[in-house]
Amino acid sequence: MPKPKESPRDVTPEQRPGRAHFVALVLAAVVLVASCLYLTPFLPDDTYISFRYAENLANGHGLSFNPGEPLEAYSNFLWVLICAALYRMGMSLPAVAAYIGIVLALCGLFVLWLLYRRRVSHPRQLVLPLLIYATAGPFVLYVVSGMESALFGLLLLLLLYCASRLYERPTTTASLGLGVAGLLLALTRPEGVIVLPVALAYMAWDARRRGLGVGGGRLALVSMAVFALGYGAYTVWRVGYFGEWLPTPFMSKGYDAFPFLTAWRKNFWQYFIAGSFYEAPYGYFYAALALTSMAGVLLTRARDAAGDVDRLALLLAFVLAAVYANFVDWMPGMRYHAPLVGLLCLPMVRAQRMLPEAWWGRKPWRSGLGVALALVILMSGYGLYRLKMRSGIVTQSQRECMIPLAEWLREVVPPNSLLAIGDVGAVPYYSGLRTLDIHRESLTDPRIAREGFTVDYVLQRQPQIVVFNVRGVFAAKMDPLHYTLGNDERFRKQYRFMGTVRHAWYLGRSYWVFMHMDGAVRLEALDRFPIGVGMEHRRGFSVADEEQGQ
Amino acid sequence: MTARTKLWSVIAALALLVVLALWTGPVPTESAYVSYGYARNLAAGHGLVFNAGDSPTEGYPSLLWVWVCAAMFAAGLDAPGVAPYLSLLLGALCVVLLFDLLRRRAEHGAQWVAPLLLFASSAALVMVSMTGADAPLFSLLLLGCAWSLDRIAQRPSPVLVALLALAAVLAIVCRFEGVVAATAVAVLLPRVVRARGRRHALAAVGVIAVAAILYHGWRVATFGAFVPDFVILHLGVNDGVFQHLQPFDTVPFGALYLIVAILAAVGFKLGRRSAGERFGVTVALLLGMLYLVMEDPTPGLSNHAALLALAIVPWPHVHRALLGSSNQPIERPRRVGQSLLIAAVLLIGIGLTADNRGTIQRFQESHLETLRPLGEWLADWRSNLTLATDRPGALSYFANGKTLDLRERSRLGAAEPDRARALAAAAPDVILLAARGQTKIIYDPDTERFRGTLRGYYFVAALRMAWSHDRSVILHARNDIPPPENTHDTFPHGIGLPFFGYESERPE
Repeated sequence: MPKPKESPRDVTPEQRPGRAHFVALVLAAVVLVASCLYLTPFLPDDTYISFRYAENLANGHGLSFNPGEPLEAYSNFLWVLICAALYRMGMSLPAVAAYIGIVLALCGLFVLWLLYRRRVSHPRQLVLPLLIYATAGPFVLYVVSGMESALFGLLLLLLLYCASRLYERPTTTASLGLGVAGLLLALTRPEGVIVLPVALAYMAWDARRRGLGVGGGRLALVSMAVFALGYGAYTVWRVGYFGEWLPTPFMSKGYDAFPFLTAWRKNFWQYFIAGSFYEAPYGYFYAALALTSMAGVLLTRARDAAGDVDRLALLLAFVLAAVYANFVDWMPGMRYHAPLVGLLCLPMVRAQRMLPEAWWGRKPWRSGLGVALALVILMSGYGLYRLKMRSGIVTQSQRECMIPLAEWLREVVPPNSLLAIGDVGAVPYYSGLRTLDIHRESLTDPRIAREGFTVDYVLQRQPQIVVFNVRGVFAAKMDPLHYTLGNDERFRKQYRFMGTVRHAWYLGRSYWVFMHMDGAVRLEALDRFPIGVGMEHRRGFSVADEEQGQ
Repeated sequence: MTARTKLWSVIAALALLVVLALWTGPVPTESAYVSYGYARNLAAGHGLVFNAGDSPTEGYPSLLWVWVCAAMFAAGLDAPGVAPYLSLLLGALCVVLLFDLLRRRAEHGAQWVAPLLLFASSAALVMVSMTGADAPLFSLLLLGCAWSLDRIAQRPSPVLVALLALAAVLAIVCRFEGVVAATAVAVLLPRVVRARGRRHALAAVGVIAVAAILYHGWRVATFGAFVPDFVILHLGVNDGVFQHLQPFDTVPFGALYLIVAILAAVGFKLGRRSAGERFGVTVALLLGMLYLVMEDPTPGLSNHAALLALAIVPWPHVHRALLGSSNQPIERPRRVGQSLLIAAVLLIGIGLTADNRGTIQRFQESHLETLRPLGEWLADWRSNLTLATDRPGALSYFANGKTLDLRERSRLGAAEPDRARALAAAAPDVILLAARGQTKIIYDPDTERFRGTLRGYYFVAALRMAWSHDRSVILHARNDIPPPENTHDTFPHGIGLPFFGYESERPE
């Protein structure tokens, strides 16, 4: 651990927060809230898995996707706990989660502002980086997504803040803070477990490289002890509770001979070549942020505490990005990477050192700052609008397909029925039915996750409803495994086709719904079968009707 | 920066353009196919007509481009196949010309390398370079005017003045709005030449004026109207500038052009305001505003794309004025930092190009799976087919029959301005209308007026041409024309239905 190089008392009068500093913070906060509200609502399907866990926990069913079946199919333990607490307080999770995300993002903004204060020679230097943070489309999108991204982003910044305090004045409090932040990161996301060890390793290496001795080593041990004790206790409880070392999603990735190579290839395509469905490739955005941060680090010549923390932020961003490259990310705006925006924004503030002093003069609107602000606003506006288009597709899909289908199921089948479906988010959440995840990479069924999908297993579970996710409304193209099930003689005898519900325009993505022969459905209920996205004109089925103005 | 480094920088910019353009692939726009139709008729000796045997109409965006395409047809080349690569060549020439304009304004490499690379990799240039339309040619002519004006201001010579006059005259012939550029040249040229070159300048202005009068006089005499059909047809609110045209279809490029415009304005204000810059900023401003009231459905806004190079010319002044002049050597970290920032901006630019490529792919899909196969199927069905459609581009080009354009304000196919009456009078063999839906059809409100005529026709099929809202082409045939016997086997399937039934597919 390094020795202190600079104490807070060395702060120059310019660096003490003045009114201009607070104005910059408030402006950025307003812009952040406006950006978030613009992209609301956006609750992707995976969000509902956490909500279901949280509600089951709050209702006394433990950490289970289906009540009475403990299973670790989530990857955001701390977020599930927070959601359970909110639900317990009587809040509707789909309604409130986005706003909790906004509050967490505002906290992140405040921590970033605290960190920036030590790095700027003039309050106007706060404006551009704070604005970029507040309008970074992918980050904002996942702040309001009801996922743990905002929490993870906040904790990453808090860890950097504690590291910064430790560099400036090594105290037990700062060390404890660092350990707690590392522990909370590990509880929030599985990959969070590497953050504190990487940070401490970097700090130790940095101290040794500069011959600063091991004066702070004891404090590092305190951080590590807090982390190890907390995480160890959590792991013992987790393994004891679920009876498995690995969460279910980790077990289901092994269908490929070279899963990591496959993930790299798919991710590269997704990030840089073509977005899936109707979305933009966002790898360029993150790469540009990373390059700007690298420029900031390069221009940090002084060996001050802030410079060390900047380098640590960049290192953590790269390490986490390297981890994420191994997990296929289909989500718009690169979901996993979204919390890294805060890390990348930290060193970025120093890149402004390349700019002339006139930028920070008395009339900044006459200098380049005004132009730069206009450009950032336009560029960010473009990015936000682009993601709004994508979030609109998700919202439309849920509003016109998933929720109506779930409500229809809730109406026509008994409450204890088993639903077999590959998309285990909104439909299971709103239907409230026990659910068998029949995706080939099953998230919530340990048997399929461990041993793969088999027709025998699915039929043996006797689901009341089977929903295939296919391409095509009138003709189906589907996963070969599901095709095998659909063509199985036993399935054909036991299940009847109920209808198709389109959930996205692109490729005619639809749910094909089958029901067990045992289940009787009233004719009126059949008439209320949902029609899905853009199918309002399917009923009637006639060109002549249209021509008669009906 | 050494000459060798400059050469490699230009090669890098050209390579960037070529790679991105080939990656994007040809961009089949409706107006390009209208031009090909005119060019095919011109090469076949029918004159400037939309349908062989019709009266001349001016439904093309560029006479000069029609001539170029007609020359391709006359040479035995397939214009729709070759034209995109000619556009790419013209786009590459724009890069070279812009390089020369930028480097004359820059104090050091960073001031021109970044704008040049951004231009070469821009979504707008990449898109128009593969449309096979006239935009790169028009852009090159405008840049040629700016370049010539700059050079004349430095060292007037009769050759340069002649070159400028040629560029201005070609701009007039290239597009109707080219007259704006020619006027700007005529105003600026006498001001920039010194005393001994004034005679040549006045002669050039005279040539430009005479060419403009002759050309527009010929147009009015031939087509009977001063404002071309193409302009009248496309007048309207360009909602593609500030928003996408249809939900989830295209990206809002207006914000990006606004960024370009802001930088151009700042550079112009802070720079030397040379003749080339005055020309560029004036023309870009006037035409940019004109294009705001012209519908432009191409992803990336092809009309505005032609102005991009002009707007980039003053950018080196922005770099110098806002980031500081840096003639003095700068230390290595700062230099590397600047390079990283330039790379970051470039990455954003390439990202936008990749984003726009997604939209272009939907155009390509629509063209390759619906419009072209349907046109070819119609051509196979009846050799002298007459058709009426509100999609008169690729469909009517490949159907190769006599086409009545059903779009409002169009005069293509019949002089009768009331399209419903024109349709009833023409009684074409088939009617093709764009609508929503595959099984139950929801027509556009504009199409309501054709409902009466449609009663004499039977429904043949709906072919999807876009996923969003199941946008489809609806084919009706006249009741007295039976469908071909093998319709079921040969009829194109449109987007997304290459199979019937229940199949398995490779997992994603």
